[in-house]
Amino acid sequence: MNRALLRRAAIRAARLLLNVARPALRQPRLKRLIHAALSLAPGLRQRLLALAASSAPLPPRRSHVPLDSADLSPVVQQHYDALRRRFDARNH
Amino acid sequence: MRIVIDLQGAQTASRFRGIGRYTMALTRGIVRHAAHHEVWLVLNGALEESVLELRRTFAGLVPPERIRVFEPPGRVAERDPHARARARAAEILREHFIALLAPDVVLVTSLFEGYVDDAVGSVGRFVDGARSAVILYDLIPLLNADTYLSTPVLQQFYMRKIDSLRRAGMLLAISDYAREEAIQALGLAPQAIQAISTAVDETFTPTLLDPDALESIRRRFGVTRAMVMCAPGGYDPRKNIFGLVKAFGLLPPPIRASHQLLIASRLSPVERAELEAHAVRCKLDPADLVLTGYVSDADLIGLYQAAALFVFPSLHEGFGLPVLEAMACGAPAIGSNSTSIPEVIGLEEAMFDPHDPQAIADKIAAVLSDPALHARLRAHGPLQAEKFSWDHTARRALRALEALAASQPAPAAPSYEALLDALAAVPDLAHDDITTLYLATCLAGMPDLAAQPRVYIDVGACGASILKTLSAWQSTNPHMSFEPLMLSNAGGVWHYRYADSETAYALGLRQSSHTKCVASLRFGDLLITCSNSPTTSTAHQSGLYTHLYRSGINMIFSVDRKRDIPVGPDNILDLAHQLIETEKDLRIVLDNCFGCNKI
Repeated sequence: MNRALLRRAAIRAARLLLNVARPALRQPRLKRLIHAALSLAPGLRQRLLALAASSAPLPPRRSHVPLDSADLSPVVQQHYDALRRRFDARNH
Repeated sequence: MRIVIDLQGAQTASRFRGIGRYTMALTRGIVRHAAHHEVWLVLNGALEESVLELRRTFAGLVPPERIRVFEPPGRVAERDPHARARARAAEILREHFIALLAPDVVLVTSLFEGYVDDAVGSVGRFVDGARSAVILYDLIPLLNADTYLSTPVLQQFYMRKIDSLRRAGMLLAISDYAREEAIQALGLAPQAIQAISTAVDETFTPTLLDPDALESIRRRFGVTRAMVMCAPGGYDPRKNIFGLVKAFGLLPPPIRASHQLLIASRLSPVERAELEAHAVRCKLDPADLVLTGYVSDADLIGLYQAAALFVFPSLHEGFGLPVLEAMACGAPAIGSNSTSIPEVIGLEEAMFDPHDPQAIADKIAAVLSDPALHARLRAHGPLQAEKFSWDHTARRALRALEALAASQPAPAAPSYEALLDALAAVPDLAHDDITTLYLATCLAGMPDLAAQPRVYIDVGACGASILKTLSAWQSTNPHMSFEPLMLSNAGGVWHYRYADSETAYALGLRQSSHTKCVASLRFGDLLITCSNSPTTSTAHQSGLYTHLYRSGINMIFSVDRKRDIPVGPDNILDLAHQLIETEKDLRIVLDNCFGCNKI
């Protein structure tokens, strides 16, 4: 079994578990217990925080324009095309 | 000399701590003493809740055109592994953004940000850092890596910041001790780092509050006896709060019986439970220990003034601001004989060995049982605090920045092509549509000091009389033009688009070269719209106008005073650069805009 596949499955399972357990995790007593337990394992704490950060929704769009590369302002379009050319050149 | 100050130290979670206070006080001091120098501020748009506040704080102190907002390309907090490549790209983009402001020197107020917040900080990653100065608070994580850099990701994050520190042309240390520590730990040349010291805010004074106010503060925090106080400024192990609690338990019974130990600090429920359990282990009664939680500055001053003794038992500090604040308020203060704290306290008999709880207890007991020593400490505090002032610190910082500008050639801003090459070279930077779009939006927001502000009209919101005035104006001033815009909710987000040619023609306005496509409003541009229109209100509720305000768009709202003007915390008119009520007002705006070529 491929390690990457296993990792992805583990992350997906952790996310599912997180969604199910979320209401319980809001209880202050349980929160305290988890914090105390995780402070003994900083590596695990770090990984869980990273998982929480990566599964959180993207921050609100601050630029107030549609998030659609087919509908850009002329200025953004110029930069977009220039970047695309660079990335394409990098990847070929 | 143009000084560009990166103000992120006052934007992240650090704004609630010493770094935030330092950043704000030093920046205000530099602005006060800048004389013929220009001070520019760069904010991070991702830390959006602070942008509005900082724009308002510096209104009247720094001209609005000198407060610029950098927008990182999406989420860049390095705690998120998916954001790390974007964070590298953001460093390049931020350095380029600052270089385009043509600074003579750059001052970075807090470099070690961006692990949990979307802050971006680097020096010399893309633009030469020889003319950059960085405030150095301490190197505590580097010197206590086991405690503070417990994971490889944190270590990599911190060491990248250390590399940036090394590339900076100058470091400005907050104390002599922090300077010496950096010279030794980083092997820096002594001339590359200047100590500029620190001070307390002028609200921290020994002028006593009236007895009723003091009693009210004591009651509110549950203080019933004379109080031994500590404001540790955090809950790190190095703050040695546990050592202090243990020392309190070792005090002679009569002193313990007549005093309470008050710890003024923001505490999480876990931290509070830990401290209470530790107090029980040290044989303290529950009433012996008062944990206040977060305390406002006004209450903190009252508590300092009400304290029988202030104790600062920290094991390691870059400066140790709380003890200076307590001394400035007239509290008799004692503290550790380690790191920077002796430099702050400045009195041998007020110090103890923080590693030995018995030594702490002996010093507390000595002060509380010796009225002469108590009086000497009380008299010493305000005199010592007077030696530190923000004016003095700001002048030292300015002298250091002047020397930096004189000693190094100014780096040129790299070309656009070089910028694109650097972005394409960022390892693992995704080249998907969304990342490219974020990067392109960020590039479109780069400053252009030579650009003339453009005038946009929201033709969907402005009333007929305004449009008629504008049309008449345009026909008599053919070389001056407005861009007609309309609000749109295409894609589910409120934004502006160029009006179509038919609408522009029907309104008697010259049509734009772009029709119907998304409009990019830039810093300094002018937008004339109407606050009473229903679509304007809906777009405002979505945050559009707050975003435009934060981005430095000057908004002119046409208002009808006879109708209700909205009030409340989200009042759109608070964001107005100017309000116009009559045709005459509009003509004055246009005169100012086109006649003087600026607003």
